[in-house]
Amino acid sequence: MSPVDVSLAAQSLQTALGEPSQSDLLLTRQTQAMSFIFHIPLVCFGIAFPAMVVFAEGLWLRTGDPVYKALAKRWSKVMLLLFAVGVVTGTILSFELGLLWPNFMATFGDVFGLGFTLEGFSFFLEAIFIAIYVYGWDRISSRAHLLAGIAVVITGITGSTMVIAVNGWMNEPTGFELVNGEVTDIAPWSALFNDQLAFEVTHMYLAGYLVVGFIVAGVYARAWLRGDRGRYVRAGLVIPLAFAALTAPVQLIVGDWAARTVAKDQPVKLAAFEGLQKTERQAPFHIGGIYEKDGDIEYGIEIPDLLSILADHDPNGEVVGLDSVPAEDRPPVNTTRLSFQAMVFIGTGLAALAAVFLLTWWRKRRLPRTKWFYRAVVACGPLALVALICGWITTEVGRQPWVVYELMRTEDAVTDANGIPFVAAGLLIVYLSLTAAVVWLLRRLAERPPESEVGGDLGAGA
Amino acid sequence: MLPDLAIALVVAGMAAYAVLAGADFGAGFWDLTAGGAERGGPVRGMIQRSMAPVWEANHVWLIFVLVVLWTCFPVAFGSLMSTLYVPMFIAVSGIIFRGTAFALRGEAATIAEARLLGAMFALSSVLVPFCLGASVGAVAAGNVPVGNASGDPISSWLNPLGITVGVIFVLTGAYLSAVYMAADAQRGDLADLRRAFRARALGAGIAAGAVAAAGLLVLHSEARALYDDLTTGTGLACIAVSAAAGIATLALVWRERYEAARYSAAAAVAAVIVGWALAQAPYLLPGELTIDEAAAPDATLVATLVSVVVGTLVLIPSLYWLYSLTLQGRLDKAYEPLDQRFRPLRAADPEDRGS
Amino acid sequence: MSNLRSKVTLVVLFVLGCALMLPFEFWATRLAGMACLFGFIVLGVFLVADPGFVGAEDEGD
Repeated sequence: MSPVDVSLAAQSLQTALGEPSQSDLLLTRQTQAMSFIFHIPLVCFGIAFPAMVVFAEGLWLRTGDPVYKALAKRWSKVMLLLFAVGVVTGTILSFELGLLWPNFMATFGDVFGLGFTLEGFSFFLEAIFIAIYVYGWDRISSRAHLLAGIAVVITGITGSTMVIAVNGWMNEPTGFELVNGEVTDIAPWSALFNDQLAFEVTHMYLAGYLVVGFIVAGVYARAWLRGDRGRYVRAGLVIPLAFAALTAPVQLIVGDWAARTVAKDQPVKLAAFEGLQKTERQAPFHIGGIYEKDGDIEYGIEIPDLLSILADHDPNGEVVGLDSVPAEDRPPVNTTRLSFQAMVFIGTGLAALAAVFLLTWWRKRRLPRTKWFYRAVVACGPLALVALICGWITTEVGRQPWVVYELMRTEDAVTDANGIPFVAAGLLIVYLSLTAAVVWLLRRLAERPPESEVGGDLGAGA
Repeated sequence: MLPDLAIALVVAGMAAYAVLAGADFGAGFWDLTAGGAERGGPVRGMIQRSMAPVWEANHVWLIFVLVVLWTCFPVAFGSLMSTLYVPMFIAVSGIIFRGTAFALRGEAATIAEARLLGAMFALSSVLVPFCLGASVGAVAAGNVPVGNASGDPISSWLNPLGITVGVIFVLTGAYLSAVYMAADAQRGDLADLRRAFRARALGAGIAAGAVAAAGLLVLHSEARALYDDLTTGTGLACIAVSAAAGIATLALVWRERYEAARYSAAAAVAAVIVGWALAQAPYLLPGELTIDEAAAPDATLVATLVSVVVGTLVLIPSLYWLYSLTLQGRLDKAYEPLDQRFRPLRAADPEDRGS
Repeated sequence: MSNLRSKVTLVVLFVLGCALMLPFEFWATRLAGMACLFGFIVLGVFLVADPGFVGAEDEGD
């Protein structure tokens, strides 16, 4: 089904619960953003970490070396913990959709809700298999255990795909008709399987591997730098680093796919990536700098034609500018463009580090010797996370003022209730305590020696 | 027909949540009342042991209920979440604090740490069911109008009916949890704990029954229409089933037939929820919105129902696998009274199996 | 599969993937391109993180 004809739609949409007059809209948006920022790293661990854990288990089954078993068991505890916390933060989000955006849910819940139904089943399955996997070590057959692990990998993929399908729908609303401003003729499957889904899921899925790969490798890289270079640390370093290093170059290609799709389907968002005021050919890209209201970009480094190349793979390609829509329909430009640039800059850096690792492996079949490599690995964990969050800021802020692109404004989706500052403050406290608790718990887990995972010796060189 | 099927999903989800996660919350209640660190250690250890492998899965029922509501009855969902944002926000905060405290407490190294976390766990375990119950009470009382935060944010739920239903939710969870843990203690051959939870199950069962009966009186004065529907026809049948199952549970617990008691306790709770739904029909928001009016178009309802059926078919074998491994004791963490975990970890400590 | 053949396959998958993804925008080329690139990642992980490399003793500085 083609996207809704938006030429008149935005003026005529009748929301289900009228028009709110919320004085704390920005705070509401920031609260929602805060919830995503705390939740999404956990999602990364839910979608990418299981594959690494199962891979380590696979090495154990293949070689019988207790180092791999200890690593896999240790990682599976971390995986369980982070999954449990992810369920908790995901629960907050489910409530938040209704608490903060009741008009969005009331107007369109029946269009995209199917995505959450499917996601729910998927994560329920993942919870079950994670429980079996973590608590079933040594208690069920190795084959059953491995299969449970593989089930965790698969359900992580399906669950996140369904949620991202909803986000894709928000960027390209489809699967329904507007008759006299009311939502009718709903086709829920069409709504979910929209044109944004493929690249969004791919981009996020790979991002998960970058974040988790570098964060986990960073833990062991730090041990490496401290002089602990036993086989346990080496395995803990190499396995996630392999995943991350191979993903990094691919993510650049997918990023290009993403940019071109956005250029086609959400041209104003793409214009905000740069701050391009007027529709033009040979559109330049300014690295850095601040976008000013009149359309100038101060202090940036201008690279001619680059935006046209990014959007269209053609230096002469036409790129739509911000003034193709009225001022109240444009997103906050500086937030969008600086997040976008940070993400691309870091992503490129990750790929460069990956190249160093892979080339050293290819040509010398060993790990890099310089300490700077390991310091870079340690830094890339948090950096990958920053890139991830910047990417989400780019796409979400870039979609503003719309919550449903060109159809429903965020200011019309929001609750009319008064207590937003309390909710915001309360949630901040909740998230801060949660973070502190998780960090504390992870450190306690790390304090236990690896030998304790296998009840004894890890063998020579560990 | 389709709207009724969709609402049946919501009711089924609520019943499942009450029977499974309600017991998890109830465990927190017992944790709160277990006594000091020494005396309460064994009880708390038992709680930790029987909850760990399955607790993540149980709370997904709540999300299921929310999701089916917002997909199939979006206007009702938006209305009730915006009016009832206060109890809903307290509930969700409690759920988070609870989960965190529980996960952390297993790692506490000092008694002070464990006490603080324990208190957080237990307090939130009581607040969450209370707020959810009060929200149900608010809906039942007809205090949630259609609209964006149109009802009163405080008095809609903090009134006699809301408070009574909230207390019922808390006590019901405590009662279920005590029965389940008595059964677990029996399976684990822990006679002292079995006796401890037996006493609690009997006490909580009687208390829950008494408050439920009082609740009927409150309902009579606050929501007469609902009272009438609950005390006639199918509503009455469900109340009768619940009462009978409740009495049967007390008898089974008395005679230490715990496995059977698990099921009769669950049936008693589920029957009340079904009875309430039947009595409140055809209204979803009493006085404001019927189920048919609130329902999404058929395409959405069909898609949801189909997904749920297919999802359940996939879910049942895996859930069966998990529960059979749990109930066979194959996934049990080794039993350890909680106060033995209070010493700091030492490198020489043997790892307890599976933790 | 011998080591050299695996490495060559790895490069081929990456190059082919890029060749399908960058110039075109059809769903079929996207699908095929991503299949190649995912194949690159999976094969690469097994090649790089094989027991010989992962489990080696530290070579020292």
